[in-house]
Amino acid sequence: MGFVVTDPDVEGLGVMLADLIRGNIEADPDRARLLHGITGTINVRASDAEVDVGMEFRDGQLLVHAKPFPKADLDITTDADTLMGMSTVPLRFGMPDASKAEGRAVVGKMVRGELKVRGMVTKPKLLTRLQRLLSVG
Amino acid sequence: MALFPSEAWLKEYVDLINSSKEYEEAAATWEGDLCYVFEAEPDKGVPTDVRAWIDLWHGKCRGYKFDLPAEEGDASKFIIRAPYSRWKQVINKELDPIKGMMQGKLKLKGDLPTIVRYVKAANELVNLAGHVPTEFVDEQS
Repeated sequence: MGFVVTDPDVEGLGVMLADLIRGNIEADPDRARLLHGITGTINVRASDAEVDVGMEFRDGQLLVHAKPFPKADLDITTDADTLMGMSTVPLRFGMPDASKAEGRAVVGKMVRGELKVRGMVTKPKLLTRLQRLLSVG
Repeated sequence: MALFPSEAWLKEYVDLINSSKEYEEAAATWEGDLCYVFEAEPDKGVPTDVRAWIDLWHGKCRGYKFDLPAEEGDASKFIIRAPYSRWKQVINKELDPIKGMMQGKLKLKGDLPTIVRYVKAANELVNLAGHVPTEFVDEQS
């Protein structure tokens, strides 16, 4: 069993997120530790592409499902470009680094409602783990 | 006007890549070849899959091949494949390639973290494809 497991019917966004995380773990195997000691569900939606995906941290693995969860612990909604850009944003403690221009740009999108993250207050650890797994920085 | 897909179209595309300052800057440290697969649509004049290979190195294209064998094209570092009519939408700027990949309309094979790091270069490659004066094979007069 791999660290990242995709349902057979996953395609598009789900495949991309899974491949991104697999590639990051392959390049830096220490990142596999980010999958341990955490449980929770995340929906990711690229609003302009009209696609969404459900992800689940469970038993040291990240499961990627073709369908979003009816009620996930964390919901991330933004446009396709912002979603891709989130992987290149410099992080500080697992969150966009507001001392850097790219980090401030992400924070600005959240303020303007162009990037919505529901559950980040109640499940911050889930968000920081996902950010660290997706980051190519 | 170059016919798409054809070697003449690919040559014009490569010429545009090699004259683009934007691409040169965005891909200054890029190393790796890329194969586009234009999948067959016999009813549209593309009877078999066509592969177009470009060798991208430090902001330039240092080589290209058109209609290379599958085993050669599929050995490329990165492969993007889609049916012919999807590529037509991309070239006509009717389909954003990032959205297309998220929707599963274009399929990418290769190290995704690398593509994400060079997303500006990837966007410029697509932008340049839209600048080639193109006649599509299914619209030939």
